[in-house]
Amino acid sequence: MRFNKTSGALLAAAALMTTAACVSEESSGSESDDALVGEGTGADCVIEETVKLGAVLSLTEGAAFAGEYQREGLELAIEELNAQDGVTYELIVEDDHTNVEDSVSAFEKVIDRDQVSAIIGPTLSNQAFTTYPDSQSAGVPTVGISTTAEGIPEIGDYIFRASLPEEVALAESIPAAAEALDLEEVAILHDSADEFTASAYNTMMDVLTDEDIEVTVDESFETTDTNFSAQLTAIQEGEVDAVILSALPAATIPLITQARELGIEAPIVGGNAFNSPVLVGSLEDAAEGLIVGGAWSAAAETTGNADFIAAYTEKYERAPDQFAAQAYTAGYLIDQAVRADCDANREAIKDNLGQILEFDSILGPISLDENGEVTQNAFVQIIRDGEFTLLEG
Amino acid sequence: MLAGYDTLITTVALGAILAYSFYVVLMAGQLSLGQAGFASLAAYTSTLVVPTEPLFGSLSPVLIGIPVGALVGGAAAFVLGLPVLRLRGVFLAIATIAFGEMVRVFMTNAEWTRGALGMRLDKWVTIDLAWIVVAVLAYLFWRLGPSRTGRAFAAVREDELAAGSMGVDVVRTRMASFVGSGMIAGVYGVMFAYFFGRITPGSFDFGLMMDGLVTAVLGGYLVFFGPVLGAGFLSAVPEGLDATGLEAGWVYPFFTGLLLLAVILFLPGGLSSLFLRRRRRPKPVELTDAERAGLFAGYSEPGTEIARVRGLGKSYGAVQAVRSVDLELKSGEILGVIGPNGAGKTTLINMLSGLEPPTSGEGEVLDVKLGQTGRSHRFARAGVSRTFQHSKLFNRLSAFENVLVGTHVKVKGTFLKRLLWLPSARREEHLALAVAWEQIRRVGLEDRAHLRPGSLSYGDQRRLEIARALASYPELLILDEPAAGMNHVEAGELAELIGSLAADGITVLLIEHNVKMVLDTCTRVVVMNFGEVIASGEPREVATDPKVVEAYLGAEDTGESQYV
Repeated sequence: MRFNKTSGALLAAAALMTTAACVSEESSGSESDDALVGEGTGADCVIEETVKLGAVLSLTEGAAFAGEYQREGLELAIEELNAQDGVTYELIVEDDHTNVEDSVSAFEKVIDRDQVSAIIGPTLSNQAFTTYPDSQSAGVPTVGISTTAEGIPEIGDYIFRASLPEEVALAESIPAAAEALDLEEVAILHDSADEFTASAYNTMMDVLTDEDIEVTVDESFETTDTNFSAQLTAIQEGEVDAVILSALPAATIPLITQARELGIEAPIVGGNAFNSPVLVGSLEDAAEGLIVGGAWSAAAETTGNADFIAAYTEKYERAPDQFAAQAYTAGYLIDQAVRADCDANREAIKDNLGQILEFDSILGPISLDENGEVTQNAFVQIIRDGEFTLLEG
Repeated sequence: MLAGYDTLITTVALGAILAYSFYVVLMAGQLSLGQAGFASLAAYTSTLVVPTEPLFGSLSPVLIGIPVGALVGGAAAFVLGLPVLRLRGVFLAIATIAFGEMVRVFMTNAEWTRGALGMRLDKWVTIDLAWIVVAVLAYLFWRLGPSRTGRAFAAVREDELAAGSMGVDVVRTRMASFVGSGMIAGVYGVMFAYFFGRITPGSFDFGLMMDGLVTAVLGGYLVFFGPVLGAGFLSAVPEGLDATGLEAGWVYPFFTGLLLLAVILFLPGGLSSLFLRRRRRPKPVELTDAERAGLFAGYSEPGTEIARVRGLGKSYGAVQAVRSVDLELKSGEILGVIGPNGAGKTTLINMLSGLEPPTSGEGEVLDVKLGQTGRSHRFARAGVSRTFQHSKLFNRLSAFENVLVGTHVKVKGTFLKRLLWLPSARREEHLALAVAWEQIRRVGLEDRAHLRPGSLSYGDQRRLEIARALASYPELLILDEPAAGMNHVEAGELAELIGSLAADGITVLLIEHNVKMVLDTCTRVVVMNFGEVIASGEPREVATDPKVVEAYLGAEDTGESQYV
């Protein structure tokens, strides 16, 4: 009797094992909801149903410095869009705690439980690499607003980004700086433990080779380092024309402070991480002469930029940064895609996002192609007297 | 009902798997924290072997990755264990953390791992697969708990010296737990990589290690489902907080910290110990005649020599604790060793039971040569069993479980047999239970068998230790001051017990300050002073020896020994 029970249980367990270990290629369910289809097009479009948008951002822990600006920029955009007639949006914001597991869970929540029409975020490329395959297979159009690493749009046709890739920003800022400052020999310093900065490093090296600029000092450090005297001493002895830096904001501040204290006076060229008023505020005098290539500039005279800065500053009592500006723009891009066919279903948004051409935004004319990549001009700025000033090449 | 929560539920499963890799070392009392390194090695290695297409059309390719991960993790743990397992406590923790960091730095700088950029993989791990792995682990640990190996883990955790004296091979047990931890961490690494579809060296960092440790401690490492409970709890808390609508970023870490603090303060055994609150009284089990016959077989003929030492000495630096002792023991004897405090009695028996190697001289006990350290389990297996001057009981086990550990050398390993539900496992377990009952009854503690040693009286603790020593059916029983702290009634009962053991054919070596008891019970007495034997012979003769009277016994005014 007992033998029978045991073998029966074993058999059942074995059967369960074999079935459970199966993998099935799920077809992405793209059932459309007629309630999300409205009448009219463009500015006249009227959709009865509230359109749900999900935002997965890093509001706490490591990347909160960016996530908070993004939330504010996005909420400002949605508020302005809801003030217009025709389409009402509901923004569902989830915090991923700057952590891959929570980011995946948050994507699952907005995709499966909230059934949003489109997703904005996440803050970090690291999270995006893990979560984008999920929104791709679920068939949810997803717009990255600070996911600048290589290979993001290639994840699938539902993946877009409204964030100028680091390589493009650098490709424009290094030549601009080279021309303005007559660079011949430079030092390069990068964070080798972070994928974002490591990817930026590769781009920088390519651009420098293209520009025929010689790299005489090549130093690296790790994300959590706080003392950079070894690397900085090497740079100082190299007597270079400029220092090119690829670092996250947390390391940028001590790094630049220590460099200036050590007496390195060469201009420092950096990427996206530099493009923040907070950074400039913390660095005070040491910020002078930093050169930043970015997707947005407070000094740029793009359509609506002055209004955006004014509205943002009034609402949140601080100046916006590039993260806020890009998130704000993403809100408008999605609205643009919804109104194009007056259809807020996932498929329609995906199709129309890929056809946005030269949309006049605060980032300047911006286009998304059907592969999901963004096209816009970079703004190369230099910090003079504590202010971002456009660097005219 | 659970649709849309797949990720969350799978994350709980992954958390539980990681926690099991901590559970298995904590269970054996080892603070080993290198799991992130094992997981990283296994995850990266598995990317080299896991195919990109489903097996046979529909099976998840991770089914190849999981055994490879276990193998890599286990092998890495073994190689690391050889040098670092000499360390204990916080030193072991630091060494293993350093290993994890080394792996991380290595993976960041290696070419084939694409450094910090990481690798993208297919998401092959499904919710069912993750939970099946958890179920298999829970099953393994459920079957391990009450097996001989499980008891050895617990004994090593509670007291390594006592475990060794009960015949548990401490070095092997620690290594087994270490390798087991490496294997589970390896499985975790592979599952992690193929669930999130991505690995970077930074995924396996200090934070991951902390998560696993916290989950294991919160869930508790005394019950097999502790890790599942811990992982479920840690995931449920943030979800619950979300439901309350609290949005502040600090709330989640704050509550988790608070709960962890509460658990450690009020439930040191973890959440799972809530399910253990009522300790069941173990049911008595009787020895069958066949079992009893097997236990007593093989005792030496009365009068044959079972131990012999020549010129045995032990010095600690300049202090000579024992010098040049010659001693032999014959089967069936009750040999008393008396002498003033610091005479070297305990050092002598520590050498005879293999706890300490002698610094000079040589000898054999039951055909085992005195020598190497860390080999006390060999003496136990040869038939030496002992108690300690200061009781070394396993404090978090019940009295009965303490005695069960004592049966270690008398039963065969039962873990693998229990996994397969083989009938021989039941037979071996029956033998162990019956032997333990026999001994706990013999010392009169059967009605207190379910209590922890800490709640027993001092005298009861000493008797429990004797029962544990007897459970190995030793040929030579060494008792170090068993009557200390007993009143004269208890001491009388103890003397009777010792007499009956001798009648069964057990040779007893007794250290005792209760001289009357020694003189009444022993067949021969050795007197030590300043590390040397100053007299040896029949009890009455020794008691009248002037040297002994002067050194130890003291005399009344008449100059006659008071004990004669």
